[in-house]
Amino acid sequence: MMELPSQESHHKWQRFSGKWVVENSRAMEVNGWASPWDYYELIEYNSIVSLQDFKDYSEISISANITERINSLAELLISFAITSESASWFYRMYGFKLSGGFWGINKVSFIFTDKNDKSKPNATKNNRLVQELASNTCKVKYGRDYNFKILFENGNVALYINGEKVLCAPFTEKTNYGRIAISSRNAKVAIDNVEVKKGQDLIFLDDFHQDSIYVRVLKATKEVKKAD
Amino acid sequence: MKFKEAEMKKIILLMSIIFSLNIIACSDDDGSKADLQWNNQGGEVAKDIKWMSDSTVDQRWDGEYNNGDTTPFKGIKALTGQGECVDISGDTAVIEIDPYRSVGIEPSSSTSTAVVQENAAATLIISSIATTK
Repeated sequence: MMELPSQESHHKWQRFSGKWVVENSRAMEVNGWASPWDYYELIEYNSIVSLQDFKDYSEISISANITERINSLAELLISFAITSESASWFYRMYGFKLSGGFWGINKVSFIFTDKNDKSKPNATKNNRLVQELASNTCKVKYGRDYNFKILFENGNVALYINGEKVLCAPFTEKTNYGRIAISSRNAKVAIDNVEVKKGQDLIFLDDFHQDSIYVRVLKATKEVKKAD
Repeated sequence: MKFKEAEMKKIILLMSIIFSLNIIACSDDDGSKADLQWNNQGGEVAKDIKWMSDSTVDQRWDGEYNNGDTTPFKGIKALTGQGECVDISGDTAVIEIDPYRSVGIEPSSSTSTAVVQENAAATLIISSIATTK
């Protein structure tokens, strides 16, 4: 049996897709392009997902820089209340999605995703629904650092960009329990200072001073014969 | 008689053209530089295996491969790349090649990036799947 890299105590995230590197106290997705798997929404993007679940938190804060647009639509997705019926089949979640084209990010939407036909097995392709619950225009430029803050307030959830409220929508779930994730597609991103707060209490912080991203690995050996 | 000979020549010429066209049409020169298949000996299901190069998905084997299953051979254009798949838990995973235990792998290979020999018919064996989280 080969020794396998496994999750260690300093790991706070799991990489689900894309090529994430931690350098200069930032987590960066350096592929830009994303390769779809056609299962749940998170793995249609280049995503890192928190290893822990959070409950009854009031705020998620992230510093992010969409460093380069690769194609349109360029997207950044900040997800929360990510849950699964089984293992890591994370079909159900909410998120704020920022999207745009050549000139920059110009739309923000609040989305909900889940399994479409729940009677089908998790490993069924193209069995997810994605609902846009609310949307608005916004202006986010490529290559600049922004602070994205998600606040749960009075039955609503709101996204603030550099302190300005850009979208607010009802959040009708009894709880916001679940994991959080950061995802991108058609763009390279750099992430820093991810915080989760419950009131004034800081319950999670990652400033990426060390590589906190766990990459699940399968080992393979190789047998080769020359083709005829 | 001369008429028959001329007809025969025409038929032979036509058959030659058809034969030549057939050879061209059946050529499998799809630009691939090697053939690759995966054999899952990891003890768990591996799904939808992809061979990824820097800027694209070079080849994919959709479907579910149980322990002991082998994918069909498929041509790869990028000799340098990395495998990825989804496991039974819904996790995506990087398939890491062990260059020290590998046969026929180029010396420039690393654990994160494999270089398949040109014109090889390569079988990559998924030999064990990480279960520790």
